[in-house]
Amino acid sequence: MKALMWTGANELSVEDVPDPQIQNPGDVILRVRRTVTCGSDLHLLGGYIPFLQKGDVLGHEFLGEVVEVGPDVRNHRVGDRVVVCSFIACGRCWYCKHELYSCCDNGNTNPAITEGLWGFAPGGCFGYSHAMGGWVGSHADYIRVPYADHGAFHVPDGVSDERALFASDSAPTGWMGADLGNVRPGDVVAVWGCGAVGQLAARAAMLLGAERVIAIDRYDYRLRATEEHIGCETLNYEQTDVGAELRERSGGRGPDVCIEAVGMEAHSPDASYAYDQVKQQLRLQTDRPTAVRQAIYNCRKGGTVFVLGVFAGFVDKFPLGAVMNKGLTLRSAQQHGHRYIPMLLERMERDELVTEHLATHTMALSEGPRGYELFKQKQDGCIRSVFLPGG
Amino acid sequence: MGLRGAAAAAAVAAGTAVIKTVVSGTPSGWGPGAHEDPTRWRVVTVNRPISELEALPAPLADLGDAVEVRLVPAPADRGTEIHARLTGSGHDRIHGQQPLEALRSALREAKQVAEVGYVLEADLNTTAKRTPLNEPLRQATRHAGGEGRL
Repeated sequence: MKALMWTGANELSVEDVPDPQIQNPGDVILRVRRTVTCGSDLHLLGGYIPFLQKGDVLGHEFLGEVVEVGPDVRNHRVGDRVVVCSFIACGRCWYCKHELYSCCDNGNTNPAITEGLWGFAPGGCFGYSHAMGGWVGSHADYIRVPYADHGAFHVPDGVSDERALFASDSAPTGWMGADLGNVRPGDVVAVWGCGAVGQLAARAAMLLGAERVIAIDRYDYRLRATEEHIGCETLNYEQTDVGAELRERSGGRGPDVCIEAVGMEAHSPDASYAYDQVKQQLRLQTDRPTAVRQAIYNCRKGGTVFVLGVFAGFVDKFPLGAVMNKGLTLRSAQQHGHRYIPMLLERMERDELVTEHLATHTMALSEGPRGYELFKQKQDGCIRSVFLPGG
Repeated sequence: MGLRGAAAAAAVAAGTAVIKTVVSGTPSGWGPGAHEDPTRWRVVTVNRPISELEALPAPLADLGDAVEVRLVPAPADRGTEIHARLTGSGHDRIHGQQPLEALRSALREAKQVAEVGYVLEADLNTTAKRTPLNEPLRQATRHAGGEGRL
């Protein structure tokens, strides 16, 4: 089969790779119908998360059709159309039973790496490096899905592939930020980042009853898409004083909930960007936490900051004093998609959650390197590049 | 290679240093240090009642007399703690493996057998290619089931 693989820093190619096979009784094999780029892939692509090997297949947000089922699979049959959570979770350990699916004890076959990095190992993730299990990614004609009864979800007939695709990762990630960020009716919510995850976090906050949702980015085309398709307010941080705007729009209190959906390659218009960039390149810090700092600084006293963006290691100038003295709740997680995906698919069926506009560029998998270039360089109004395997 | 390519290659090269740090200890600097004890009890908590574990799952039972095992009910709804430690000096190889690597792997696999019913296999259709830069990572992944902080 064909697959899109990482061949070196900022280098990709589409090559022939072996087909997947049923290896455990809970596996299914999918024919991938759609698979999409993610901002977190860019950290892998550029070598910021140094746990890829040349030849590793990328991709973790996808949907497909079941073509083979393992003997223990009860919920799926050949021909089913399913969307798959990007995180691989067994559904049986204590973490899964408590809906902390991305913390699954059993989904990562390389636990020593992340135990060394972070103290304990989270679950596995498709196409997201050997630190997260070394799972072959979804940018391929076919993919093996372990623990399929828990991680694959039937797509209702009324939900198109184009829409359901984002139930794999972006929509549950965004929803988790608003849900576990404890958004309540009447809240003012600020979201840093107007990529797919940020937009869907903003939409989740609105659906959970927030009074006012303000999304922040620097790309006008993404801000326009957020206003048009999500329906919230926006700020361009290169053209306005974000802190002053947030105070003015929240009665001087500051947002109740601040959701960071940017990650470890954040930008900033001030000198802190150069500082963070130099320290990151010298590996004096591994991640650039600009948006996290802003979220903490601007959050109201006693509010919640939720970090949705992907971070890998260590950051500098972390404002712990603000967290402590303002009494903030700081939460974060890789996505616990299994707890949200069925509900999100229902909302998609009712048109409460629309995602098609995020797929600004759809192309054959064979054009994957071009799709990533468009996505990485934010060219041609790209929000997400979607690949169609088999084309 | 342009400036951008050189910077990216440098980033990857620098990343190998991160991997070496992770593999050789902990990046925080708070590794076991002088207090490392190969005969220390190693513990996993299994989300199953103790009654289901009295016949030990095969991966752990297979270690036989090379390990000592005790089962303890975990607090609240957490299931059962499996405590295991190497008998003897802790330096004798088990089934040809380094003893601690064998013990860690067995504990992790026993937990999976008890909770899920089988041991999750890594994908066989990987296409990763060996390069000088990724050798530390390949070394890490080869032993990742039997290393770590367990």
